[in-house]
Amino acid sequence: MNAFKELGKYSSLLYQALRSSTEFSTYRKNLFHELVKVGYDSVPIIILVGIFTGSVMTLQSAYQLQFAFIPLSTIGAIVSESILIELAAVISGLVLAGKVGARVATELGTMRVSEQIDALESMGFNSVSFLVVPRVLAGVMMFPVLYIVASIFGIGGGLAAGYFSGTVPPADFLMGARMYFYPWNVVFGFTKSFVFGFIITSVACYKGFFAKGGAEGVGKSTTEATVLGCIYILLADFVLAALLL
Amino acid sequence: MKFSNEVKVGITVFLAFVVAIIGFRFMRDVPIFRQSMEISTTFDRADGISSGSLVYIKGVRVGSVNRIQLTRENNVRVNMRIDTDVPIPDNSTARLTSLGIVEGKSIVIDLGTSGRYLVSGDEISGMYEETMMEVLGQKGEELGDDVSNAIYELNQFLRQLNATLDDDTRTTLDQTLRSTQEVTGSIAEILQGKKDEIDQAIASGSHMISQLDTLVTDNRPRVDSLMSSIEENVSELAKVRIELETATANLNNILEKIDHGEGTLGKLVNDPSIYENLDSLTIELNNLVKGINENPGRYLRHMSIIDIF
Repeated sequence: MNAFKELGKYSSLLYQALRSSTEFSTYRKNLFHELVKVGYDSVPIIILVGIFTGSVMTLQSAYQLQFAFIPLSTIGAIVSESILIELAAVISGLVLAGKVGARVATELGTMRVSEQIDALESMGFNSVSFLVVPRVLAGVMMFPVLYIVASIFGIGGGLAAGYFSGTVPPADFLMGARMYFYPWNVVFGFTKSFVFGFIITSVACYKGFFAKGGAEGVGKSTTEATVLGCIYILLADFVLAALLL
Repeated sequence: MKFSNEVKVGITVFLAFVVAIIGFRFMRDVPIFRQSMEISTTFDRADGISSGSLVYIKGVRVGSVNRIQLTRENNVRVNMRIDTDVPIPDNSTARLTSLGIVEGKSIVIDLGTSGRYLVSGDEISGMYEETMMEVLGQKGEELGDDVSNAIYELNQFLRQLNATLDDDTRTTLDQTLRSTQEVTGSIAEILQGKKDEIDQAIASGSHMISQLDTLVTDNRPRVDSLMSSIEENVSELAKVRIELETATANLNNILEKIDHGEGTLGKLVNDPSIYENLDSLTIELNNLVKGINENPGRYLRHMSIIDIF
């Protein structure tokens, strides 16, 4: 019962957000602020995540396949395709669930418990349009961009790791990566990152927007936003794979 | 310099998408800045290649497959993107083949000799080349059929053999074997009966041989000396022959001289005057002896008997 209640509240919040998304002038300034917070400020950590994901993938694939009778280029194919399909979107999604989700939930939760949202409402502002819409839009817009960054640095990191560890020559790596490159995989990864951006920000907004009971309530809503964000990302990953592949 | 939020977002998005497009074109093997041309070819089938498969000329990658689609003529039309800095004669052919046993398939363009070069949108002829594994697979199937056929025929043969070996044949075969056995037995009996005689013959033969042996062994010194003396005689004979030869030569010489009237004998032989002298001498002597006979005192008158003796 409680689950349905939560789902209903979540859906109605999203409906309000969708309805008020036309009030561009209300959230324009906030939108750019959020785009910077979600996108621009997350680039360094996404670069880091990408490089390490790619290099670890290369080293471990090379280690696992060292006795297999396969050409070295296969490692490049495995690494680049794994990154494009799965890792760039999912790992950066998980990292951003912590970084962005926690921040959004905390911001909105604090505003809720300190009754700033009530104040906005009483002043006649559409609080959903003012607070939720720009955050969700920022997530939806910037996550694909971050997916690109993660993919580029992931494949670059894999290439570099193969080169510096001496396991996979860059030429072989690139040959394999290009031979098994399917554009649909990029579309798929893009779709994933789009969905993940929406899930993380909307869940965080929901948890923050309906936070209750002082500092403890804010902490609880933050924790839930992060954890649920991660779980829903994995769930959505599975659903998308089942639907689109 | 402080950027506004809009500028930061704009820069991030712009850079990300530029990098994404470059990366995408790079991964699809489309030249990022160069122009490329698109040519097409037709294969019977296109197993093993897909959009993105590589195109080679003499082992050098020159482009990639762009699109694969079925045609109305039940063929497969393959569009390839080729770097334009590679001139390809318009009678070149495309071959769908595999570069190794484990490698995937790719398209190899065999360059033609024409002086005219392909431009974007042209079509070249294509050929699907069966790979080693496919050929092996087919051969394996044929081989399997052959083997099963052979086994079937062997089975058939054995069955026929079984059928041939019915009771009659079996009894005949049995009888044959039995008579063969009997023959062998009688041969053995005969041999058994004549055993003593054969033994004796062998014994006497060996006795004879041993006697011959002792004979030869005992008389060996004598035979040896005989042989050596024969050898000596032969060598003596040789010497004699040489001496005879010289003697004959000398005799020849002498006879030749006699023949030519040289020396005393020669003159004797060749000069008839001696003979004539002797003849007349004999006549004279005859006359003398007759005279003495008729009238001895005539010749003995001046001498006394004492004077004579």
